[in-house]
Amino acid sequence: MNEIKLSDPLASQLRREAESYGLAVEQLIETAVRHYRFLSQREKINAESAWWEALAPEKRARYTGEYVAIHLHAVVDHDKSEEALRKRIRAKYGKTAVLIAPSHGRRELRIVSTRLTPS
Amino acid sequence: MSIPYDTRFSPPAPILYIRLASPGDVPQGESLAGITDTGSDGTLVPIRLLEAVEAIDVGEATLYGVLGETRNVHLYEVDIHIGDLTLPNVIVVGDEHGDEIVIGRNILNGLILLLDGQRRLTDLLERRPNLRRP
Repeated sequence: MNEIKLSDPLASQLRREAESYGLAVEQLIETAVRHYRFLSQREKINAESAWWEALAPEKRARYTGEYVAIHLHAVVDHDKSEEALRKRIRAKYGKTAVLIAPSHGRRELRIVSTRLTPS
Repeated sequence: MSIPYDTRFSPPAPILYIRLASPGDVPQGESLAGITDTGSDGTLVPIRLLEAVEAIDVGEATLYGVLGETRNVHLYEVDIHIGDLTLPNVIVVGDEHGDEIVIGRNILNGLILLLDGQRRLTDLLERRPNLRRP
């Protein structure tokens, strides 16, 4: 086991929060870190997407008909096959959130049911 | 193995039990019921379940419903386990509003399913059955 020393008020805040949810402090920290990672990767994907959409049309044109992989505001790979691109990206970047998008237009999905509307 | 239709829906709906995992990981959680929906391009999973397995965010999409409603969503990469079958690196929609799993054609098109509506049972088959025509 590794020890991390936390000073007050953070240590007592963590103890209070954990107690109020009936969790061990470790469990609370684990949940909080997971939530933080989940939100961070979403923000990263939003930022990568905004960067790509703001890129000059002539720069995007070189990837016409392909899928692009965008990481840290750069096109790091591209391919006509989304599956092939996805495999390479996963092999190279592990579980890092890397945007994979069609080079033109936004990805669209259709749901032929009414279940989209919240009741 | 036959899976009974879910009678919480009216009429009862064919479902499959799936387990989610972050790509390459062993599934940790319990089996979850997902309604099979051949009318859905993609598979929808409540966002809390994706967070729990640390699914990887891979992009954005617009979701169109049959009544014309649209919703901006994030897409996540997960491994999906159905019985002994593992479907690696599947892209699913993170559903921020709903609380049910909808298994769409991106998964269904890789399976052989027998929907026995009369007996209200679903079977996941390993091979296509020899059905005699009447």
